[in-house]
Amino acid sequence: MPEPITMTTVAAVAEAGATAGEGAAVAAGAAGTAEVGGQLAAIGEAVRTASVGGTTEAFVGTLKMDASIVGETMLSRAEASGAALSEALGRSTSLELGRSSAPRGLETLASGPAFDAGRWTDWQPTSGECISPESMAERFRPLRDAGNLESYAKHLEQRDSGFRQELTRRSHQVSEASTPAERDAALQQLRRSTAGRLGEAIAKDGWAPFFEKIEIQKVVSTDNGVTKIDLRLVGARQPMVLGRGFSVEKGGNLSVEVKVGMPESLVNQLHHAANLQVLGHRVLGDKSLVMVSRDVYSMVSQRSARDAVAVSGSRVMALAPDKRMMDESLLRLLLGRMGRA
Amino acid sequence: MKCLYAIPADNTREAEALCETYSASLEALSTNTVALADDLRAFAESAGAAVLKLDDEDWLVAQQELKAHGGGALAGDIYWSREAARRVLSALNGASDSTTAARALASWLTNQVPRDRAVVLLAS
Repeated sequence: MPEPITMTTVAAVAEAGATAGEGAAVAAGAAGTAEVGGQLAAIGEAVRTASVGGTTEAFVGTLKMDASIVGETMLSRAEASGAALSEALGRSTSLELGRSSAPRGLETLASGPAFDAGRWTDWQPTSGECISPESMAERFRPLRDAGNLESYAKHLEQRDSGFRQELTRRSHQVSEASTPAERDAALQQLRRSTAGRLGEAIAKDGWAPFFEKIEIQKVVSTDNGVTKIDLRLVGARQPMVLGRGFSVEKGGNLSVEVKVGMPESLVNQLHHAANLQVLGHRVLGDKSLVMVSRDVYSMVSQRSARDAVAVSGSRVMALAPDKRMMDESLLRLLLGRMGRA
Repeated sequence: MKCLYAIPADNTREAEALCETYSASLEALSTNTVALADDLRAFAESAGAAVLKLDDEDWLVAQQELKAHGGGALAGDIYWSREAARRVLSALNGASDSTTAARALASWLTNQVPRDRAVVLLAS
């Protein structure tokens, strides 16, 4: 006898829908939430109908159908499915979404004690596969783990002399600070300058396997002024579909701005990207992306900032780890260098 | 950049406690320091404080002037009590040929000190 369907089942579907925002793109904003809310209300109504007199089998059919609508709505708003949605919907409604479309080998890069920063950096996708939002979410997911992120930063320190020098400067600044104000200034410098470099390195290493060539800080003149593009990815090795209406064909280019910051600072950064930096991407005829830290989910005015970026002709994807996690990983790395860990 | 927050009189005790905790954490340095820094900034920004922002160069100039007129020890603190803020203002007003940056700081403090406000100084 099948288990009775209760509002707990509906709550699980709702949670799965909410989790869809994780991963490749900014989660649904107010309008999207309202839309999904409407779908969930419909499911709730179906639950009530089933509990009053409908058959369980008939209701399960309705739930499957509606769960698929919820999933699609969230996906269209969030422009990402996320493995969690795939798992949750696949488990409860037999739908197949998400993880199965990730390129082979990505699962082996999952977070945990087995994470190998060198292997993550050197990873290569399987030739010919189309890259999806789920692929990119899976690619960056391991770095959401604090331990993995610190391993990555250590590995970066070993292979990148610029990053190593940056850490050396910060170490000296912290060592030489003799007052609370000087120590505070040193910490903030680490959080601003060094974390910015770490974010750019994560973006570069994360995207590099999918393109033939990378150009860093390319200078471009626009009608609104001169801008430097954080990352210009040239010659996609395989087709990429990164969201609804957002794709890069094989051989195409993608210009990327990297924004890592606490929610309140991301607001300004996203508007700056929309007003100037994206124009630079368009001058070059590239597809445009603003890759942000996951702090974007906590932004009060997320919707308006995301819309501003969309109107300018770009997209936002939350692939970089939380800013505070990056700061703390860097501080641990610094303390280790100074023998104070 | 240096942000100076003038903390309303009702909130100075809490501001002082947070600054003490953060200062001690900065001395010991642990990853917890990052969260404490955010807590202090969030408190200062939500306390209805007036804010003066000086870029690094201006702050350096103002600091030098402060040191030259007897306020050197205060320049390294992240918390100026009401009394300390008065001393800073007094030191800055003592200069006969003050710089623009120091005058900006003195002018701002002239508005805050009579209202018994303490000052929290944070880098950003």
